[in-house]
Amino acid sequence: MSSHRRHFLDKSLYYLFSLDGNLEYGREDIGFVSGGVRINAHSVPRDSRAYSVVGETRVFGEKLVAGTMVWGGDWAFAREDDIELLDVKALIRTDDNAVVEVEYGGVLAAGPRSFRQVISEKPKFGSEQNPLDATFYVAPRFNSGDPRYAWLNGRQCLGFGRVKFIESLAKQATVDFWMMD
Amino acid sequence: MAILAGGQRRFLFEKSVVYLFSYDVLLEEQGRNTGPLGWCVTLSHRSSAGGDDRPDLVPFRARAVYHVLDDTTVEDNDAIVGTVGNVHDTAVVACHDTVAAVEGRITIQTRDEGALIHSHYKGSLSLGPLGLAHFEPLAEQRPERETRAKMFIGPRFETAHPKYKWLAERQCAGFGLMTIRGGCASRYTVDIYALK
Repeated sequence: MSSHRRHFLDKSLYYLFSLDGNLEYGREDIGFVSGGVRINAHSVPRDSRAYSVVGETRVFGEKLVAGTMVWGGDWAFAREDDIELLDVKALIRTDDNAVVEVEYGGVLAAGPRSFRQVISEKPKFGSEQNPLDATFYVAPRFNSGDPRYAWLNGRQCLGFGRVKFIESLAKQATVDFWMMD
Repeated sequence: MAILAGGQRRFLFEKSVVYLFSYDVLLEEQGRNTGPLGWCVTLSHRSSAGGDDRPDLVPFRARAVYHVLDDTTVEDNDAIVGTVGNVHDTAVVACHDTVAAVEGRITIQTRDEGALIHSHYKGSLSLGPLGLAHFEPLAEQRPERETRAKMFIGPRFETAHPKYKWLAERQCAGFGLMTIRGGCASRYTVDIYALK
């Protein structure tokens, strides 16, 4: 029997842009469904922004996304094992008037017993004075009909983010997007 | 840390990844089609019997799930070692000159407990300047021509087995390499990492 591969494949990541989302627009507690709780959170239109943390405007000579998130939502599913599965879609209108769609799933771990805290609301986690910051990880892809951003179409990316909980409610989220290459 | 206080963030979050396991799959084309989303090829796994297992090029074990360094643990868990059960419905849809979208399903069976681990994932194939010419029909190129394309996927895994529950709690990333021989996808090898 032949030996297996003994080296790692290249795993380069290139920073694209970051996205801040204000999630206080609306929340729909769908409630218990099989295996957990479904919660829909929507972002405040035009109060959420895409930008480069490092101030770059291009990568590989291609234009990077910077602009305003005009619409976005997370149709999240909080599992009984304290893992929240994210299902996010958002539309960004760039500063040069293109529309870029962002779509991703991912995982948010709010900590041990967080599911029980969500359903019982006792005790609520996070407060105005001391919000709970939880980490989430996502696998986004982008789509745009605008030729200036077509280079992003279909590319698999990764996202490393934080979400701020106050009184057990997700209030704000921010995420860095990296392109796998 | 108040995340958004004070305007735009001026620092990047840490972006750690933890290596979990690798797998090798021999592929068989099930068909090609042009639909409303574009050109598409459907792939599934095939056994190594009479196949394209060519250890002279790159060490490759068809259907093997292994740790590249043969470590026996990953963080506080046993390393995942086993076999690839099924790969189905992996499709490639051209969505850009140099990029194709990938969607697939894979089942892994661990060697220790026989646990079945499933994933339905999406991803992309980086075709480079050759573009869809990677997949040109056999008649239009030398049958022995071999090209490679980087494959990137963002899988999450599901299992009912308690020993591997930790894996189902992670968002993962896969960095792979697909080999296309004579215009047909013939195999790929993938490293799976957990985002941390």
